[in-house]
Amino acid sequence: MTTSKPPLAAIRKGEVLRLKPQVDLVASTVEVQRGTMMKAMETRQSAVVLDLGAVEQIDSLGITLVLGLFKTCQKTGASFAIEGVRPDIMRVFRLFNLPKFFSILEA
Amino acid sequence: MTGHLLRVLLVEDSEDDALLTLHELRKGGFQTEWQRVDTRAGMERVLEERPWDLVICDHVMPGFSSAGALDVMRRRSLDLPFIIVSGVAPEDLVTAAMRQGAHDFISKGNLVRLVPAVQRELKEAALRQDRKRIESRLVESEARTRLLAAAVEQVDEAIAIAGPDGVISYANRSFEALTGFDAAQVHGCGLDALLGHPDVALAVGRAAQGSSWEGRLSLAIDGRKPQEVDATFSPVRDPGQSVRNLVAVLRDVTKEVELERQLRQAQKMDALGVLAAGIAHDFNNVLTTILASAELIKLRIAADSPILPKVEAILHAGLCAAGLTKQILGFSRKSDEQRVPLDLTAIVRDGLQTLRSSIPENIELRDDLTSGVWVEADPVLIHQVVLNLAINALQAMQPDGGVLQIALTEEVDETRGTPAARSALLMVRDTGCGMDAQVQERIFEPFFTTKPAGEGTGLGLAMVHTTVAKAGGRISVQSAPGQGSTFQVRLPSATGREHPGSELAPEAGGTESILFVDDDRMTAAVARLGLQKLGYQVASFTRPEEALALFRRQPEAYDLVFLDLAMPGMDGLELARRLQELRPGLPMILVTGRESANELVANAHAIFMDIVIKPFTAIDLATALRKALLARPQSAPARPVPAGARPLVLLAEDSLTTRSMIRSGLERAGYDVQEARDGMEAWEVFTQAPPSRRFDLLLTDVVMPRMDGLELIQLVRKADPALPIGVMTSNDDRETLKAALNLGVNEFLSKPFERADLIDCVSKLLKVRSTRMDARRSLETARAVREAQQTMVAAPEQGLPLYTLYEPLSDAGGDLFRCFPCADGSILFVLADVAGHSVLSSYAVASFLGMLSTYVGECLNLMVVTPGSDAEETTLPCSQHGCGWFGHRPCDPLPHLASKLNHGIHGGPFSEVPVCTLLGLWTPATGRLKLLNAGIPHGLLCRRGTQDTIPVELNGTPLGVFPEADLEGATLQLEPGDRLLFGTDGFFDVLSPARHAFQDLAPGHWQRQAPVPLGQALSAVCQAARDHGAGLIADDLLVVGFEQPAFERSVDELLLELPSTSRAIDMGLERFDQCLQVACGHWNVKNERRFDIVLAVREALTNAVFHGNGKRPGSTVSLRCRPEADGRSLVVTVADEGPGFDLEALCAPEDPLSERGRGIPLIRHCAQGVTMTGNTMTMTFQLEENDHDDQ
Repeated sequence: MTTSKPPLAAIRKGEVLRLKPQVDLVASTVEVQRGTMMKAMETRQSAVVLDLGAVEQIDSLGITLVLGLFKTCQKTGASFAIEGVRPDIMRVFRLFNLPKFFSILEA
Repeated sequence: MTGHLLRVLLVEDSEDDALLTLHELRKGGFQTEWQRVDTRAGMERVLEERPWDLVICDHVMPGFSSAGALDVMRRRSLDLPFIIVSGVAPEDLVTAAMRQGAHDFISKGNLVRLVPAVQRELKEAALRQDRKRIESRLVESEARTRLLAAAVEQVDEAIAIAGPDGVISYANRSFEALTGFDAAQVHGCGLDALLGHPDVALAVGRAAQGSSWEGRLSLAIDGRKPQEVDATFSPVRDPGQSVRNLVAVLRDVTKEVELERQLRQAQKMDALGVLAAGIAHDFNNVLTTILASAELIKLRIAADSPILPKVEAILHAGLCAAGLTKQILGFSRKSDEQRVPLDLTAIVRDGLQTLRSSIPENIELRDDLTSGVWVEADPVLIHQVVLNLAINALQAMQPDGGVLQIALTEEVDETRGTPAARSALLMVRDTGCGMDAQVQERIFEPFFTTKPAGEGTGLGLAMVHTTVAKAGGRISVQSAPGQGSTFQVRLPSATGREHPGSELAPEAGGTESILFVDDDRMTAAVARLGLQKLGYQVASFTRPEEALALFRRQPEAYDLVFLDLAMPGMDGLELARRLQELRPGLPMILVTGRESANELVANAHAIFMDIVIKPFTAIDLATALRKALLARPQSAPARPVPAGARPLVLLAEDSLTTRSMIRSGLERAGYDVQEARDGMEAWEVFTQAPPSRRFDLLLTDVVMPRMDGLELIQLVRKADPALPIGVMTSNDDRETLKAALNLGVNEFLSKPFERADLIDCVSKLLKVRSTRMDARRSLETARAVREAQQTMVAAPEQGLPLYTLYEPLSDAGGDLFRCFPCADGSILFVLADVAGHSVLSSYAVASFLGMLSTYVGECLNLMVVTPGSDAEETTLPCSQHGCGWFGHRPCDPLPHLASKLNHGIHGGPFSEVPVCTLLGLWTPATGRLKLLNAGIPHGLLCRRGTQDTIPVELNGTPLGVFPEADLEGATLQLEPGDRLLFGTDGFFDVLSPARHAFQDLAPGHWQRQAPVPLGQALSAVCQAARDHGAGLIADDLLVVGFEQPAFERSVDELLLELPSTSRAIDMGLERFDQCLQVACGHWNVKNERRFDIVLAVREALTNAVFHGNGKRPGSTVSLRCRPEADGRSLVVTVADEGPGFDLEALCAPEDPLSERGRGIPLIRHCAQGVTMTGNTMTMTFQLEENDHDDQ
C-alpha cells in the first residue's frame, strides 16, 4: 500500500482542538473524516477550530459534517469556529446563514 | 567389708612400709589387690588404668607428697577413701591433710588404726556414692519431668488432664487454642460441659473406669467455627492401679476431613468420567447416525418441503445432544485440550452471535468488546465458557427479564515486574436473582445446581472453572440476593499473537474414490450416502477383513480411506498398517470417539493424516478428506478453474467458522472465493489482484481486527466506485447500517443467515455489477454518458407556466421539484436538494416527499369544491380556516410548511441528512411571488425590458439542521414578462476545468436568453452550464424557470401595485374610489358607506406602507379589489412586503416603537370581516342599498 499524509491533522493546544482536514470534504472522504474528528473530540476541550485552509471543495455531505461538528460542540459546551475558508466555500456558508451561528474567517 | 577384694593404691616410696600396710590390712580381713606408686605421673597412670577402692598415701616422698596426691584426686574428681599413713603425725600436719581432703591420718607407728579407719572410710565412701547416685537420679528425674511438662504444654495436640470426675486440672496451650479458653478458665471445668459434645461424658466415664475411649467429635465450642477433632480419653493409674486421672488428647482434623471430602469427590468424578466416557462412546455412534441421516434427508428434500422444519429440529436436537456429551466428556477427561493462541474477542463475538437468536425478548444484551484480545487456551472450550456464563446469566434473569452485560478488556499489571503482566478480563454481569454466600461457595462444584431436578446438570460452571484454571486463569464472582451477579474471568494474555496455521477449509465436494470401514452398519451406510451425495465414489465395509481383501485386489483403486478405530477382529490401527503395507503413503483418516482419540499411541498419529471425531456429518468427513488430499506430498493437481468462468468473490470475515461456511456455500453455488481474515488482509488482496482476475464483488463483515469493514469499504469504494459490496451485519446495528449506506454499500446480509440468503445476496450483487459495468469508469463515464445524450431539454410542469429540467447524477438522486396548484389559482412549489447520493439519501428523499404531500394537503388542501357539487361541506385551506399548527388561526402557508418540514426532518429517522429547500407561493394572476429559502442558491430574476438579471438574495439554513428553521423570505411583485430561474447547486456550482464556478456566469446567460421562449431559454442555460464544465456535471442538475404572464382580472376588478409612499397611497385611493363609485352606484350604496370603505382602505394602505414595508427601499404595496360573486360584498386586499403580523393579537413587530395596530380598530368597524394572512390584509365590505334620503 502506498503511504500518504493523513487525511486529518488534529492538534491540541491546551483546551483548544484544531482540526485541519487535508483533503476535500466530499462524499468519498466525509465518513472517514467524521470518524477521525469525532474520535479527536472525545477528549473534552473548550474550543474547536476547523481549519479549512487545505479544503478546496465541499459538497452537501461536507456541509453536513461541518454542521455535525458544530452540534457536537453545542452539546459539550465548546465554542466552534472555522478558519481558512476559501471564497467559494464562504459563499456556501453565507448562503446557509452559518455566520449567524459561529465565527467563520476567510483565508 | 572384710573378705571383699579391696583394690588399694599405695602412694609410698618405701616398699617396706607398703608391705607393712598391706600386712595390716590382711590382718583386718581384707583381701587386697594393690599397686605402689611414688610419683605423680605414676599415680595418674594407675588411676587411668583401673578403678581403685582405697588410696593409702605416705605424707612425704621424694618428689611427691600427700598434698600432690590429693591434688591429683581432686583434679580427677575421684571420691575415694584417702588415708595418709605417715611416719610423723604432728597435729598441724594432720589438720592440714584433712583440709586438703584426706579422710584420715594414720601414724606408721600406730597401724592398728588402719583397718578400722579403712572400714569406716569405705562405708562413708559407699554412703557418699549412694548419695550421689540418688542426687543424680533426682536431677535426671527433675529434668525429665520438666521436659515432659514442656512437651505436653507445647504439643500441637490439645491435652487436658482431669480427675476421674472429668474436672480439668491441667490444660495445655493447644487445648486453650482449641476451646478458646485459657488454662485458668478451663481449670475446674468439666470436660463434657466445656466441649459440649454428648460423647465426651461417655468418654470420661469410660476412662474413669480404666478404659480408653477413642473417637471423632464435631465440636462447636461456644459458637466457634465447627471443628472436627480426633479425641482420645485415657486413664492414668497410680501404682496401686487405681485411676487417679484421665488424659484427654484432642487433635484438630478439620482440614483432613475437608481433604478427605475432596478426595472422595475427585474419586467420584474420576469414576463418573470413566462411566461418561463409556456411555458417550456408544452414544456418539448413535448420534452420528441420527445427525448424518437427518443431514442426508435435508439434502434430498425441497427447500419448501413441509417436513424440512422437522428435519432441522432433528438436526438441532442431535447437535444439542452432541454438545451435552461433549460437555460431559470435557469435564471428565484429563488434559488433552489444545492450548493455542486465540483471538478471544472473536470467540466472544461468535458466542454472542450464537446466543442472540435465543435471547428472550425481555432481556437486553449489551456488549463492550475490545478488539484484538488474545489468550492461550483451547478455542472450543473457551467458546463453551462464554456460552455457559451467558446462559447461566440468562437463566438467572427469568422470568422477569433484565440486562445482560458482557465486556472484554485487557488489564495491565505493572506491579509484577517488567514486562508488565497482561491479562484478558471477561466480565459477564446480569441483573437476575443473585446468590447468597452459601450458594456462591458451591457454584463451581460439579453437579451443584439451584435449578429444579431435571433442569440443570450442574456441570456448566464446573466446566468453566476447570477450563479457566487449566488456561492459567482464575474466575471470581460477586453476587448478592436480588442484586444480580457478576462473573469475572481473568486469563493471561497470549505472549505471541499468531493467526492459526492455515485452516482454510477447502470445498467439500469431490469425485475421488473413498473406502470407508466401520463396524457399525448404520454409520458406514450414512457415511457412504453422505459422501456420495457430495460426488464421491464410496465403498463401505463393516468387516475389516472384507475391506482388506478388496483393497488387496485393487490397492490403487482408492484415493483415501476412512477407518473406524474400535472394530472387532482387527481394529483400525491394525487394518491401517496392513493397508499401508500394500500401498505405502495411502491417505488415511481415523474416525472415532473423542476418548478413544485421546488414548491413541504416538505412532497412530503418524499413520493417519487426520482424525474425525464422532458424531460427524458428511461435511465433516468431506472437509477432512479434502484437507488430507491437499496435504498429500504428491497430490493430484488442483482442479483447473476456467479463467473468468466463475465470479470471484472477495470475502472478508474474521471468524473462521463463518468464513468456512460462506466459502463452502459459495463454491458449491458456482463462485470462486478469495478469503481474507480481516479488513487489512482483504485490502491487500484487493490491491494485489492481477488485472486478469479482478474481483466481481466484495462481501465483508463489519467488526474485524486491524481494519474494520467500513474502512475497507471506504478504501475499496475509492478504488472502484462500481464494485458491488455486500455487508454482513447484525440486525440491530442501525448506525453501522447508515454508515454503510453512506459509503455506497449495495446489499446487506443480516446475521445469522442461511445459505439461501447468502446465495441470494451474492446474486443481487452480481446484478448490480452488470448494470453498473459502464459506471466502472466513474466520472469519465458520466461525461461520456452526458455527451451521448441529446441537448438538454426543459419540460413544462403539469400544464402550469413552469418549466423544469432535471438530470440526476445517479439512481439515488437527491434533488426534487414539486408544485401544487391551489384553489385560488396560486401555485405552491418546492425545490429541494437532499444531501448525498447514497441509498440513505434516497430514503431521505422518500421521507421528505411523504412529509411534503401530507403537510401541503393540510396547509392548502387541494380539494376544490365547485359550485353545485354534492359535497356537504367545503374544506377550506388553513390560510382561511386555520389549522392546528399555529393555534387554529389563519396561517401563512410558506412558514407553516417550512416549520413542519423542519420539525419532521430534525426529529425524523434521517435527521443527519439536511435538505436545502426553496418554498414559493406564486399567484400568476397578480404577479405576487412569496419566497422562503433554506439553503437553495440565489435565484435569478430577469426583469422584462431591463438589461440586468439580479440575484434573489435570500439565505437560510437547510431544513432539519436546527430544531427551529432559520429561513429568509421575500415577497416579489412580478410584472408580466419577468422571468425567474431557480436551481440547485448542481447547476450553479458546475466547475470549469480551471475550477471556476458557473454561478458567476449564470446571470449573463439567463439574461441573454430573455428573448427566447422560456423552455428553450432554460434548456440553453443548462447547456451552457454543461459546456462550462466541459461536459462534466458532478451533481444532480435541477433547474426551474417561470415567466410572469399577463395579470388576470375581471373587468370590475381593480389591481394596483403602488410604490410604498404616502403619495402613492393617495393615488391608489383615488383610483380605488373611482371603482368603488361604480360598484356603489350599481348597488345603490349610501355615500356614508362608501366613505367608510375608503377610510378603511386608507388605513390599511397606511399601515402597509409605514409599518409593513417600513423603510425597505424599493418595496411596493398591492391593492386589489373585486366584488364577491353575488355583488353584495366587496373584497379588498392590501399586501405589503413585510413579515406580516398577528391581527388577532395586534402583536407589534420587533420594533417597539411601531404602531402596527394603527387603524385596525377603524378597519374592523368599517369592514364586515378582516383577516391577515402573512403580510396580506383582506377586508370584506358589505355594500348597502341607498335609501335616497341623504344624497
